[in-house]
Amino acid sequence: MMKMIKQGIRLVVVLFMTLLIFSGCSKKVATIEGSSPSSKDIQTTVEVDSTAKSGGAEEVITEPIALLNPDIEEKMIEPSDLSEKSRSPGELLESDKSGESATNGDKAVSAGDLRDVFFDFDMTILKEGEMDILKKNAEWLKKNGSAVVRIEGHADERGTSEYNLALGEKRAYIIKKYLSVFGVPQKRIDTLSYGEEKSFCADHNEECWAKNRRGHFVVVEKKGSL
Amino acid sequence: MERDDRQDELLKRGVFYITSILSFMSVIGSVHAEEIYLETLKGEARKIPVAVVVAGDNSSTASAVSKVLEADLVRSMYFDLIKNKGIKINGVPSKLDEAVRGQLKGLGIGSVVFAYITQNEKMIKLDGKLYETGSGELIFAKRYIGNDRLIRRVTHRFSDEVVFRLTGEKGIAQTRIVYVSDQTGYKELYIMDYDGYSPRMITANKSLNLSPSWSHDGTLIAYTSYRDGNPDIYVVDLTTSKREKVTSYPGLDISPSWSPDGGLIAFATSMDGDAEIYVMDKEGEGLKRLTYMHGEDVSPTWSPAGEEIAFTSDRGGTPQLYIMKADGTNVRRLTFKGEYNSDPAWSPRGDKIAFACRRGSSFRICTINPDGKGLTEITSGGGSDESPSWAPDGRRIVFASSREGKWNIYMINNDGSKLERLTHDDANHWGPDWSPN
Repeated sequence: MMKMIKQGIRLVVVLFMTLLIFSGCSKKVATIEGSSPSSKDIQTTVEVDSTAKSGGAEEVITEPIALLNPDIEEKMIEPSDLSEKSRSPGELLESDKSGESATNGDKAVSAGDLRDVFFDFDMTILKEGEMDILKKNAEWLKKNGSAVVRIEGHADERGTSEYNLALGEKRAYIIKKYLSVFGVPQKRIDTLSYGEEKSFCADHNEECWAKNRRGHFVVVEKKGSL
Repeated sequence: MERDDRQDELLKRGVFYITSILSFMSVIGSVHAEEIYLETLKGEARKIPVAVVVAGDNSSTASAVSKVLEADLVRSMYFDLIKNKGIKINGVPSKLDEAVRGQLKGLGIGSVVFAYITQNEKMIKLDGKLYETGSGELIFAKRYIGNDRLIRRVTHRFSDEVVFRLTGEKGIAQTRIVYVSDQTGYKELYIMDYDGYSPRMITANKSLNLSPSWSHDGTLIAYTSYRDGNPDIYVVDLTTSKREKVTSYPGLDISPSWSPDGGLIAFATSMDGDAEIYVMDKEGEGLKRLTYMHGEDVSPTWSPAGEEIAFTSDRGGTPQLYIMKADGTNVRRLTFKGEYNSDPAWSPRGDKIAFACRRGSSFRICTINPDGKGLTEITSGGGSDESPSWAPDGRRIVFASSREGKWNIYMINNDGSKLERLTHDDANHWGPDWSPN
């Protein structure tokens, strides 16, 4: 007994005594042979003292926390709302047929002649050809003075998720800065990064990755006519 | 005090203790105390041989419990399960008799774990007993009662008790993992048991939900969600289901990480153009900027004492790991090998930082000491391994990998042994974070 106390086992002492008290009482003796995978090679007789109410050494196991209903406090979006969120067709590159765009309530309309710009791996610098595209986009935006655009920054899947979100944001930010240099007021340009989270192309090759490293233009508000 | 007690306890059990190292920062003339780390050198090598015997009124229930119990004990890394022939144990309510002890000793079995399962109505009872072979004494006996839906949880509870009684270490069988899955077509957050069972959805906003991070008391989860269009940080209270949006800065608010005392959340925000690391309290108040360098600073992770923060930054041209003090001072670069090191996760033991290290065109999981030494690649194989997170015992790591095509959650021992896949549905899974308790 002292040894056990020394070992710091407190509850057991109580239980041990309880077991001694009940040792004369009725017991259910079960003989178990190979009743579990672990014991199938062991012939075991386990004596179960079904009367032993282990004083203190009984524990009621309850559900873990986080049995919350995810719908609680989480406004569900109806499928009919989701269609508004899909990118409208007829925009941008032919290769760009997949994916949705905005996730919020923005009503994305056709981005018309606006074209996406593309980046090299882990780069936020605009290549010369892409700069030409950006200039044309700036011209269009100046002609369509009421259009407000969102530039969505994307990255390919080869980086890590959190870093790629920052990379996508930087790409969108760089595009916004250049557009303002080309004369488009910054207040008409919003940015949003999706990092690698919303790929345009799902394959795992350079052709696909190149399509995913982009600044994607979405017109979120356009008054007047085009 | 608690820390001292633990150190005494570890010392008694032959655990080596690495004392604090004082390094003098002559440049600024201040004394910089490194954090104190414990390292277990004993016990890893030698495992405790135990026999597990599970029986019950209903053999299929007993068999189910047996599987869970054995898997838990093996995963704990403390035990060797001995399977043997011909041993017969008769009536052992309070002490193993001489003959049985002799047999068990002959087989090298140090302890015997017994569980007897009784099921009636919707309740399950597990009578758990643990015997020490040497003396034959009962080490502990406890009855666990729960709804029969909770059979795995009841068993995990008993497993953890066995681990604690035999090793003095807190078991991890009751811990859980929060992660991202696209099972519904949207990236939502889920929580599963540490062995991959009982997944449960905790967001349902049909947008993008990323980077869940468990608070150190296990009751709150911070995460990034696009539910209002912009990536902002939310905190959900698992005990009340209450959800709060704690940031709504322009641009990104991502990669939240809780300070060990639970008072602060470090995160990255691009409100200044570049992504920079900030801290705030859990209501989003008391915002304080920690990094000021050009380049992206993301993915902060706190040292277990809360004195330092490791993070990813591309300030040097490529993404690498850096460490700073929790007030943003004393920044030092941690990784130098490789073109891309990211996703740091500081071990709860303090002695290692796990991260995603790029090798060729994909990532592996690496670990490194906070002093920059001891770089070790702990995963190998195809696909990419990302987003490591430590078990609270610091002995294993959970991560996301595309090694079998789709993205799944895996766990591995910190020495690279015993890779185990935890998710088995046909969705993709990312960004696991292991609960602290």
